[in-house]
Amino acid sequence: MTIAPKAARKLTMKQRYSALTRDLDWEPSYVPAEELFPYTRFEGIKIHDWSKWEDPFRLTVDAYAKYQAEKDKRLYAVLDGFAQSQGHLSLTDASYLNAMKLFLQGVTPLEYQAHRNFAYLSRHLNGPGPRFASLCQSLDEMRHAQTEIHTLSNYNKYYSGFHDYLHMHDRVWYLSVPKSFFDDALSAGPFEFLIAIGFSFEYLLTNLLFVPFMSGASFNGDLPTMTFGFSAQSDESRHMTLGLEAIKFLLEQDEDNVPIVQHWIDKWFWRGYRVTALVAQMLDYMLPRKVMSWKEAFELYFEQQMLGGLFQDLAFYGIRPPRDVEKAIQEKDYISHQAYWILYQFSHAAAFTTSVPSDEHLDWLEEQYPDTFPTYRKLWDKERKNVENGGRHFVRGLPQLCQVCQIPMGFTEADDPFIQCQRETIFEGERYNFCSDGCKNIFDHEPVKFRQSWLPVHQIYQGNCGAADLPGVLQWYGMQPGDGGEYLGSVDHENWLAWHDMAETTGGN
Amino acid sequence: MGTLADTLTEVPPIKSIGEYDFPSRSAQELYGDDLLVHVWWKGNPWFVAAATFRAPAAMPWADFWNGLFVPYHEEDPDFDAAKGWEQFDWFLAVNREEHPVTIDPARTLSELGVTHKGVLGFRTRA
Repeated sequence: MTIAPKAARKLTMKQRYSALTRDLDWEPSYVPAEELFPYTRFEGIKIHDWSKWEDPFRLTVDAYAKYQAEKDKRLYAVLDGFAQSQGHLSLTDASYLNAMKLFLQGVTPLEYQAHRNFAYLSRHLNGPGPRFASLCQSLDEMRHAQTEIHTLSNYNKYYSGFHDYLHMHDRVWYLSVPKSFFDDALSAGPFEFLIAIGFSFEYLLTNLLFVPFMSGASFNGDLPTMTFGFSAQSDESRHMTLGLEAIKFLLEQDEDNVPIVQHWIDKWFWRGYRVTALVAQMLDYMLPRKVMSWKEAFELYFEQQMLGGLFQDLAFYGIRPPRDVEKAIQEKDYISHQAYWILYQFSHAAAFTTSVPSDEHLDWLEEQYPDTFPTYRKLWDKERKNVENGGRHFVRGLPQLCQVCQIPMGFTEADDPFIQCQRETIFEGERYNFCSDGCKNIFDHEPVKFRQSWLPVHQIYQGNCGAADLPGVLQWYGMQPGDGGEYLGSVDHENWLAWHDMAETTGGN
Repeated sequence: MGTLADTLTEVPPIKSIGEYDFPSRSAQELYGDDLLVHVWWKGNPWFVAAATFRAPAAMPWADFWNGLFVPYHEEDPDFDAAKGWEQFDWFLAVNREEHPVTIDPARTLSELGVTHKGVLGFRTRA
């Protein structure tokens, strides 16, 4: 009698996950753990048991690759269809693409930087759970960088400002804002990076960054960017969960971790929040068809979801809301107006265009901001008269920059929204200027780090940016004629009108 | 929520993995005999931020006014350079404080109290 061989025993999902991830870990025997993982003690964070890290997603490499390949297939089918049918002509207006230029120049390179640092964490964190979660996020971030570049590359065939975005990211004044934010995180220790990017950026602020851009795409006929947004959405949910797990893990491991984590939350909330000023102006000023105002987005995604939900839960661990959150709440009524006013008067040195809002647009802004916008409207009335008289408000020089966030110092005092905030610190005999108490507090805690800030205005004056005059600096930035300045009459505007006239004349053929 | 002072004293210092002490990238020595001067028209939102100029510490005020200040600020249609600097009250801004400055066209920036990355403020005289 022969006995049939037993069928191979099939592992449960949980066993399979464990076999393919945590079971690949081992206790080092040739070297001490401190030598194998040299970067997880110097920040003062105490971890007693790495196995307590929960893996909320239980994803394996083969499952990860399968899901991502399916999403990529759908995205690239949309990109092909859009390109072949000249889909760019069905956008609401060529000026919409200013939002996407800012995204490609400012955000996409950060995806790549996130990829690098999560790859570092996937090697250097002691526990196999957080190492594997970091590996997945590292791959996601690389995929996001690539898919964003591919999604927006089609526009580069027809519109200005999309070329040389990586070159610009490293050099241009307004891009030093997101770049310096991420460089600050990259040069921090691994736990601070986790709180900076994994928690504060990916959890606290990600909905304020991504949802407005992707909804803006959807409302303005940009099918490829919208599809990219859907493709990234499930990854973003995973990143948010990783960020939340990271903070809970650190807080549960040792009480001494609480004040360190609290300071990182205070710091990184304000650093991230200042970067979202670019999103605020995009939502309120750059989208021809509006999605929601910055004020509404801030109330929904930050005040309701984070202050009303997350921080109630974190109170259990002794964590309070970020130190300068009250100032951010106050600024929701006017920060977008101040940020766009900055970009408007310096757009002759930018790779996007700006314009005076139409009457309809000004009315919409007044509806959204009845308490504050009427005063800003007077500025636009003055500028409109200036334009009628042959002028155009382009500043003939360079602005004062904040030493920490690097934004031109146009943000105002809490008790007077028309007086710019001036703060300073003298450290080892040198004066440093700040746009807010939030930025000053960050400097005062790490002056040796932030005194190294590469401030574009100061570097231009040192002769480190190609030339001392504007044309020379723009050449060093990699900008071409037509990239920036006024939208009306620009290359993009003229082409847009010509293409649509042609479509009308030929019946769309 | 704690105040700035008590929050900062509560916070453990940020630690680095090794020696970490690098110089400022904006130190005065990097500009030779010049200063970076921030010039702030307080209460006029037309200019969204203060201007930053590079100017010699030994530059007389009259040269600063004619060569740097006026070309920059006459971009505001409401600015009338012909009324001279006397149309404004001048001060050095330190955080929220204002320290009055009496302009003398023959005196240099340095003699007027302007220092590297200091904020020279002015407002339209009432």
